Amino acid sequence: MINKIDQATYQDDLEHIEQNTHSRDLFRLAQARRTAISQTNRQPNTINWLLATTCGCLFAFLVMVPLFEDSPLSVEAIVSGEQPIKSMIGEDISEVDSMGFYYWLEIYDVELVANND
Amino acid sequence: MDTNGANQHKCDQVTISQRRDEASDALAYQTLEEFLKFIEKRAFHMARLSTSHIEDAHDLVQDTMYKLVEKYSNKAPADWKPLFYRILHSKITDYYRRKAVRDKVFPWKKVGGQESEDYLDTQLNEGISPNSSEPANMLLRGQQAQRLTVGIEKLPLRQQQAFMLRCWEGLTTQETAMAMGCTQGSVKTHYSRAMARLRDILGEYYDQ
Repeated sequence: MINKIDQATYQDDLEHIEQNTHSRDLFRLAQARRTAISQTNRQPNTINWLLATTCGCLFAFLVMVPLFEDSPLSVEAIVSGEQPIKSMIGEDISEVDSMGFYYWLEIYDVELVANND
Repeated sequence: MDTNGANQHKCDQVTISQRRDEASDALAYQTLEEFLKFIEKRAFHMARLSTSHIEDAHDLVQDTMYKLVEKYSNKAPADWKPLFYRILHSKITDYYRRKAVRDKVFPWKKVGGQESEDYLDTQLNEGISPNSSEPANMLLRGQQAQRLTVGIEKLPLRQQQAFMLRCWEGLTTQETAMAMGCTQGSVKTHYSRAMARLRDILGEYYDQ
């Protein structure tokens, strides 16, 4: 019983202390609370890093796939706007001969014949 | 006041206290912000009484709030209070460890922890108390509270913690054990020793 009475008396005094908190301390406590709570509005950094890494990998994949998919010859053909030679072999050799790309070979042959003559 | 009257007055106080405990059982907070608002003043005074230093008390409370929000915001509101005090008391213990090391390394920089002793006096002198309508009563209560403050500061740290959590915060023995990181038996021992010591220190004033 004595403990209960003491406890009640102490509680009243402790509440008195609590109620008489300085206004400057109340202000600082409010500031601390606001700072702590503002954490919840921020997304964790790990999620941002994960998102950035995934986007980077996806972009790299999209860029690299066409480069590794085709041979260098076909890439050249794509660039020059002509059909790939590979697809023409075994079809019609005259078509190959008529290709503008081999004009230098014809010139070379003509020059060689002229020299021999 | 005769003896019967004094006993009646003390019994009334017990009843009021019990009612207050029952009322506080209904959770007064649902969000983390409400909880921090509810607990911040008491936490600050506990830290202030433990450290005897206002600035350090603010730092400790701020760190505790920050850590609670960072680590335990997903916990149930009923768990917040013991967790909050667990963090706070760990930080107070760390504070004393750091202070002991600092005092050994830089003995000439020892700071006397007397800053918070006149806390209530300055409040009265500044005249900014919200309950200043009854100055005489206010003064008496202020003096009594001041003595209690001094008494609490004289207690060992663990007894202080047990006393403040059980008596002030109204935590159960189990919750206090969780907050202090010890067994329920230790809590009971610390609490009863704290009460006995305070009765020795303050008895002459409180019996008046």
